[in-house]
Amino acid sequence: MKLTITDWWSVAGWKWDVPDDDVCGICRAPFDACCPQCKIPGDDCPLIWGECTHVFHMHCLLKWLEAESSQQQCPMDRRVWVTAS
Amino acid sequence: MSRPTPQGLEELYRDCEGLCLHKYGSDIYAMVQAELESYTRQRLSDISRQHDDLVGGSVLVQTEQFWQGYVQQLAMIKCIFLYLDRTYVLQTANVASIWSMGLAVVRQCLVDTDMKTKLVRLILGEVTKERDARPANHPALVSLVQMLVDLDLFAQFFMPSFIDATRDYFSKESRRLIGSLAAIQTEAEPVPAAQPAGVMTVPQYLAHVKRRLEEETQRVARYLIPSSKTVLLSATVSELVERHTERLLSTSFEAMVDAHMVSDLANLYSLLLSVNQLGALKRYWGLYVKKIGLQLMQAPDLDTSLVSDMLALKRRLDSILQGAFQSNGVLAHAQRDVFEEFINSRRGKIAQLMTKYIDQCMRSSEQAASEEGIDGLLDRIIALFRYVHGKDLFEAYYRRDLAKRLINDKSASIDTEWSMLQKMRMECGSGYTKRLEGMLRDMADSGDLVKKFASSQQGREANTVGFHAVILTQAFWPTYEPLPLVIPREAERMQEQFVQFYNEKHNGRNLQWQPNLGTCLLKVEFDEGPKELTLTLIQATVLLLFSDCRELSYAQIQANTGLEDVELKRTLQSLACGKHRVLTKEPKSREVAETDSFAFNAAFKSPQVRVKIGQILLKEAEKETKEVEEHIQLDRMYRVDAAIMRILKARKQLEHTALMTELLGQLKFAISLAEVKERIDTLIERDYMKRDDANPSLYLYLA
Repeated sequence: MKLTITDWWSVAGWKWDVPDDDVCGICRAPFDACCPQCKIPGDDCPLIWGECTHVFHMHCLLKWLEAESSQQQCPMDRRVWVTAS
Repeated sequence: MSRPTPQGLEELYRDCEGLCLHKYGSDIYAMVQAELESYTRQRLSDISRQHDDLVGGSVLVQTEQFWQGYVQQLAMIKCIFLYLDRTYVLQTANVASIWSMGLAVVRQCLVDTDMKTKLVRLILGEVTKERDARPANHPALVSLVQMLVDLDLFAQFFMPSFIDATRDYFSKESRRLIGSLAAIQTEAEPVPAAQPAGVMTVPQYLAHVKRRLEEETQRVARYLIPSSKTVLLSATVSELVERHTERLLSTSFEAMVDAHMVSDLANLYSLLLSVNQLGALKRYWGLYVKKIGLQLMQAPDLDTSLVSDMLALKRRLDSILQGAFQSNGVLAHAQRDVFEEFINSRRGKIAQLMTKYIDQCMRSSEQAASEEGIDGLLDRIIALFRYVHGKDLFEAYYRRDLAKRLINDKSASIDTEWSMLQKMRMECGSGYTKRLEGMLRDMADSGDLVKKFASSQQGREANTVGFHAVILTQAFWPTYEPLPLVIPREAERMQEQFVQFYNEKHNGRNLQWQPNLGTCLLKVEFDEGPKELTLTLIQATVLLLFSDCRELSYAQIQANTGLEDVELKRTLQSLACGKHRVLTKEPKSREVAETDSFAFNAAFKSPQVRVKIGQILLKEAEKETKEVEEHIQLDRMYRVDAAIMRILKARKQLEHTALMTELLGQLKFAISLAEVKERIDTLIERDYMKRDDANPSLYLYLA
């Protein structure tokens, strides 16, 4: 008796690599949801990781960095923001 | 007066000239007038006397003859007394020319005696004869009406009586015909040998009215003055139609629409339009559409045939609206309102059935080959979609079906999928279809990704022949419960390689495999020969266990796959108790027990080389529907909360009723007041808002 796999279709869903139910430190919305400006989560509203290990909705962080009062710091630890590569 | 004179006409003219020169103008004028008066009076009273015997014809003829002669001779008199006309008449104020005076004399004579009334009565008698299609003295009619026009008696005196007579005539006729209207014979029924004379159906009656109007229009052209046309036609149609609007509609409107009598309905429409009775037509049209629609909606077992019935109904109604009612805005509006009402009469049912119907269309390639093509069908579906309330629910159902189509590769054409989404986007905006479009893009992206994977280093290492992956952006797709399953090592290895490859491409993403969605193609050597089996990943995983051992117990299978009881039982059932039994079960029975043991069925036989092993369906459909509805309910709750807060934030404080009005204006779905109150209470509880201390119906915004 012989059983061979000819074709194998897998289905996977992707989520952001952050703990479940974790929220963005700026907008307080879950990472799995989108920032307040967007309607649909996913590629169009990505996350951004800093070298300080903090994560935000990219749109939220960019908005924050644009504000003068931010002094280009991470809103969580006040270190200068450097995007992790 | 017509006797030849002893003197020549020129001599007479010269005499007149001479007298005028000697200032006898006014005397001659008075004498001519007196002469005309006495002549006219004499002739008319002669005719009038005969008249009393009521033999209309001869009086009519004689009057006509008198008039013809009189006009001729008056012309002659005018010539003889031309000098008088040119001098005395012109130079003296308030004296009419001989011609006008001559006509005024006749006019006066007619008015002074009862001749005028009698004459009008006689003319009307002739008209009635014409209407009855009896022989009438047409030349006399023409000439006498012209006389009345010339004598300036037409508009003031003749027309009112004429219109009265017209109304009277058609009022009697319509009452007679309407009183004995016959029912419309449908084609199925045997046609009665002959209708009793004078009995009409409504369509026949309408055609009759059209004919009558045509006749009256011709009458105007033949012997009335053009300006009388409007009055005459409106009197006619008002008697024939306006008074009977209700009766006409209530007798046969439904039957006419049922029988699709477009040209007769067009008659009805144009007649009712001309008498300003579209309101009644609108009412009947609305009632009809509603009746048919509710019949469809209230059937106890609704299935997708409802949708095709609706589409057919809409097509039928639209063709009447266009063909018979000239796409009249009022009627179209009534139809739309009624459609919207009944289509939503069973809450979300229509959304569910419509998405199911679309799913069937999208799965079969037959539709594309049909007469109107898939695009036409989609357009008609969209027209129905416009009426559906609660578009969010529709989207949720649609998404569920689309997900199944895409993941199971059941869509007949991706182009058609795109074109449907485009149509939905045109209706509801890009936000509405964003997730659905994302799903289609995910599918395309996954295809590219798999190709790249196959040629990548990891892909080559894993020897990924036949490995496919579909990567879903979880935010677009319906949520699926993760399912614990230990898949075969070979597949596991390929998946691991793929994850490595994927992570290199996309930073910060976590892949979660969904074994319950995947499928597998297995090549199996049976005694009969090799077969290709199409299976779900779960079925394949279970079956692959048997490549190492011939026989396994339930417990062993469970230990090796990690499947939960419900899922495992249904999978084993599909493999060992279904249509294609690739496993045998000990002891044999329809249900799977935890004490059973299973063996590979090498003796499996099937006429086909490719065999699809169906899955035993749980009562999934119901569960899914419920899930979708709960999900939407939750989503709507958030929307209500958000809307309340938006309004309050803008207003700072607001009365309860004002808040309700604004809220219902903003929300795109129906919601009960009790539900809103509940939302308000939770918002108060969470300190987003509060009631005013003094006035409990006033809400205050809390920042």
